[in-house]
Amino acid sequence: MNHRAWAIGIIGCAALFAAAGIGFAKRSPEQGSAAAPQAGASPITALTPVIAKAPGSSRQPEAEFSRWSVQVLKTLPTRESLRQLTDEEAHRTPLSVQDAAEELGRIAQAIHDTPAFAEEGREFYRKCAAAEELLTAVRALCFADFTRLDQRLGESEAPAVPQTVRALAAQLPSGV
Amino acid sequence: MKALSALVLVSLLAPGSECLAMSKKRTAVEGRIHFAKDIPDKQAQAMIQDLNLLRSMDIQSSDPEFVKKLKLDHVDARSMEDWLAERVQYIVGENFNIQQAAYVDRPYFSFENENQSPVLEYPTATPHSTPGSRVVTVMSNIGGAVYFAGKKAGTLYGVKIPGIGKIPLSSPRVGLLEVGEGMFITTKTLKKVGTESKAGQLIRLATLFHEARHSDGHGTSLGFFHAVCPKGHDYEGYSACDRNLNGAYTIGAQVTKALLESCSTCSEAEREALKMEYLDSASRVIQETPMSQGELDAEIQRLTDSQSVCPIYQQFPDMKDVPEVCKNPDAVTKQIEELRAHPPGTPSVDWDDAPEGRRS
Repeated sequence: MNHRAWAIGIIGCAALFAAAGIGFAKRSPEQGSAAAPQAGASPITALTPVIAKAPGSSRQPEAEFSRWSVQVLKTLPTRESLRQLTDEEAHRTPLSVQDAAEELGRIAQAIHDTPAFAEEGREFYRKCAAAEELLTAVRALCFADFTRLDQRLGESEAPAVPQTVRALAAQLPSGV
Repeated sequence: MKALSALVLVSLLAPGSECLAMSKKRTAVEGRIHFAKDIPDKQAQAMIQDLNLLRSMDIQSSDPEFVKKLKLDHVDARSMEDWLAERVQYIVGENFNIQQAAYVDRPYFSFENENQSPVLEYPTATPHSTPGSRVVTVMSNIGGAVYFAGKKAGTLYGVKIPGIGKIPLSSPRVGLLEVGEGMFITTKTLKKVGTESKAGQLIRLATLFHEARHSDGHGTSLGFFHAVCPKGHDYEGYSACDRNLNGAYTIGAQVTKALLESCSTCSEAEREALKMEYLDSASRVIQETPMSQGELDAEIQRLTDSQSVCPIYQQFPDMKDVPEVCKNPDAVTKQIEELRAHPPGTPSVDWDDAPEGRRS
């Protein structure tokens, strides 16, 4: 065996993994909670279907939805929060972004299931899309959702978003 | 035991599904993708189910780029499976020790495109450390990296894959991936109650396609290495972008979009998760690379130099063919100012995805 070649190869291999990150995708299981403050989103989230469907509830479902969406907005990952990632963690969609997708998914599902939430939903998406501190992908998703609701409800003032956000949102397929 | 019997039964009944429990060798895509012995059964099962799900899907795509980027003959699950199996052949577990598993297959090996190497960009981000946090593997294409290391050393390396044997890495297309626990960590929505949602499976499939892309390319495009995300990008300083329009992030994004469009039973929440996955990948494709300071200085120097002949023309006003720069010197000055204010960029293009070497 050529020991020298062997050693060079292994060192090279390790260095290349570390430096070039070819297909490296590692992440921390704690990453999601570390990057995104929880701000009590879960209990409110759990209540939402009950609020929306309970007959004769003393609470105003729309107001409750609105309060919940304000909480969700606080949990969405910021650009700054990504600075906590290691290079390996940054390689694939970080858990904090997946968590955001989950919260936005709940919002979308609630609006879908309860059309009365659409107006508040549009307001939520407007704020989310306009929030400069949030990730571009998150803002783009909010902008796409805002646009979808805006078309349904009648055009309103669009949020101020940069071209990068608009361009990214435009890549999403329509009608899904 | 009950679970085992059920699994055998499901394997026998499901058309196109792979037999997990009856044989020690675990495979998918008609025996073309092999799972090494060191992968926990649960993980191998999950991936086999993901691939079976892909096979069962009626793939739809409204984006012509999907077919173009993957160079597919048809928009269907079979074509996608073929694409994958041409680039992924072996999947090992996260405890796979490359240093122990690697061996020299042939010293002084003659590689294709011997004098050409991809440009490696080194991450500049320095993350805040989180004490006590554990980083787990999602998925990585280790075959491409070992091939490249071998090429650098002029030695053909091989790896001994648990339960499979010695495999020489004569091409990144040998397709050796490592999978870890991180691939199976999903959020609550993607898990549903007691089972896994389709969206979770589809996101895993997209990851597999992303990694598969690293088995492509030759010479300077070898491995479709990632680029460092530029200043101002969300992932600034991380090696988490692509400086081409057909790299791993584009493939992952296109596959996610097609799977999203094809998922007729996905809930609104699941669709939102798939859209986020798509957007996160798509946002990592660098559309344009700004001119470097050195290139900018050189261009300004070139423009300045072009004016150096003008005094001669001024001295002899009867001379013919006066260069444009001398006719309107202000225009050049303006051009230089414009260059300084808005340095032009080089648009990203598709890289040549033809593979290097071949499976032996």
